[in-house]
Amino acid sequence: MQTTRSTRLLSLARRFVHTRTASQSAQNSKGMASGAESISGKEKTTHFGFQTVRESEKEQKVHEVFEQVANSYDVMNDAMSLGIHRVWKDVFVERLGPTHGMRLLDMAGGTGDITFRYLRYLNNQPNPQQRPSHVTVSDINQHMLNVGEERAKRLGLTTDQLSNCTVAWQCADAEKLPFPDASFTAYTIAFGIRNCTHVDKVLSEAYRVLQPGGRFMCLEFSHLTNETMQWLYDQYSFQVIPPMGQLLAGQWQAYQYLVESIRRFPKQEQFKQMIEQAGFDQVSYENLTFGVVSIHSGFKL
Amino acid sequence: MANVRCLYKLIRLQKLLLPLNATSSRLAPLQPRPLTFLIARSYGKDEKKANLEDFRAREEQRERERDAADQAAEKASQKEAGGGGGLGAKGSESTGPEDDAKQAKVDAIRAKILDAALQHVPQQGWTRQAIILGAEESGYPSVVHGMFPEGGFALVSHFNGKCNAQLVESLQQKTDGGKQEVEDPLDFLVQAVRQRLEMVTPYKTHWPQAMALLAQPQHAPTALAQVLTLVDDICYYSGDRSVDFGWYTRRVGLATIMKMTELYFLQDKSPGHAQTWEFLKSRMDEAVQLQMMLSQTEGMTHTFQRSFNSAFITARNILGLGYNRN
Repeated sequence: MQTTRSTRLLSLARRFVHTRTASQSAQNSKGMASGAESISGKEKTTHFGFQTVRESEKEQKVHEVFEQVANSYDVMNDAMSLGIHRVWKDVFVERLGPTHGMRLLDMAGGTGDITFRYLRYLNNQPNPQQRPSHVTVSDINQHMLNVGEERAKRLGLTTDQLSNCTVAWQCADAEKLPFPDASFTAYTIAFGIRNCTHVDKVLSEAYRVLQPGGRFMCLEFSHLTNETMQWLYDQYSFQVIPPMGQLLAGQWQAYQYLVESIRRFPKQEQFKQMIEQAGFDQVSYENLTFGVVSIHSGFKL
Repeated sequence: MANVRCLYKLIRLQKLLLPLNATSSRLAPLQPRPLTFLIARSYGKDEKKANLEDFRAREEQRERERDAADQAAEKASQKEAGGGGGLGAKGSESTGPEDDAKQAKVDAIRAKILDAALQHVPQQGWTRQAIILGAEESGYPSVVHGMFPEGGFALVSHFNGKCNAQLVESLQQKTDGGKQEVEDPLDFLVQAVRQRLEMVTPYKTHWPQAMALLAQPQHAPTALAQVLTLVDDICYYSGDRSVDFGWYTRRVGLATIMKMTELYFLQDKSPGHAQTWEFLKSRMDEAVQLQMMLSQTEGMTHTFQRSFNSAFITARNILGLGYNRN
């Protein structure tokens, strides 16, 4: 019973959203609607939120979304999650437990949230042997990286200002990483893997660039374990977030995509199996806030 | 269903005075060495042996059949469910020897890292830092410490497991695998406890920290299970083949004495810990006196014993369930 009701609600929410879509800026809705309607039989398709698009289109669409939201990204994160996203990221870095001598690839690290926490964590630890650490922040979107680099300068967390740690900012596609094999000891991807077209390729690339013993960690929106909570969460996601995006960032579409893509992402157990299939060992996950987000972790052994 | 089956079996086993329902189908895969072997040995000399062996063989045969039936049913349901989710089906197919090999590989790496980490305990304590140093020494990057989310406790339980295995091995050698009878069981117990405590000596300065970790509620199941299996092993090799209530009192008593001695040991500054061994000896003597008194007043304490008996079975089953002996 509960399931059918929530599905019905979801479809209701969807219909509501689609009528809204029509009234959105002409350019946006045209681009997205055409994606949904004109799917040719030949090319492989994937999902973009609740829409089905050609695989070649998704990357471009995601790119557009993040280009639009780059500047208001951090404000919106605070507003949408009521500030809890900071706690999630703190927990995430705490679970990673950075140590001196580490080489981290912060994939989809755009505005630097994970990197800055990592750097502060290292700064707070004694380093008697003066071991050098490193972090590469990578994002597919240069706009997001620009925002992050600007913030790093403001916070004093650049290579010049840090004593034993180097920071590099590099625009890169998670499916085709421009790094040599075994060049990092840890790979983190926070709220990013959901937006990738081929999650399996992202995972196998992560496996490739990690050293033996390296750790893969992923922080991502996930699925709630409790039906009632899921209902509440759906209401919030579909009724509150897109309007909030419109008000605060002037972007209905981008945040509509955000909540839809969360629903399309595999469940905890399924994603765990995907990580295992990429070759990682001792894969585990931990739910935060009833499973609104979950931390997946795996090791290359 | 499984619960009903367990209960049914429990009743049957109780009739035969088995101390534990360790052979119930749920527990069997978790405990590689079922405790029923104690019983088979205890009746070893008389003709009841044959009956009991028959019974066991029959039960094991039945269990295999049930397991096979369960597995078949599971497979059938998986096939039904597997039609839709391609990924899910793939995941479940890969279980079996391949997974076991993978798990063995991970376990070997874990053991290697923890073994290397033990060398750093005297300097770093039972901490994540010691694990990090151990990991780096065995050729892994420091982040691999994430494999041990429980931090220092992983190190402590690994150390305890290793020492227990070592002790059991030496006890086996002493008694020829439990076949040879011990002349003085009391002295044997004292020696075993002493041998076990002496293994802790190199880490004595940081042992209070380890004991604190063991006492934390979230670690209690593992810690208790480790102690209980240890005392079980010691009692077994000391020649205890009892199947009556003494089985429990002896083990709980020995565990208590061990922990008391351990605490005394921490404070002991005498050369060679001579006072600790003296303390141990006198506690053992007291326990023997207590047991004699209890057995003389058997009728009076019967009710109490029965309730304690059932409480112990329940507790042991809860604790033993999640604990892998190896």
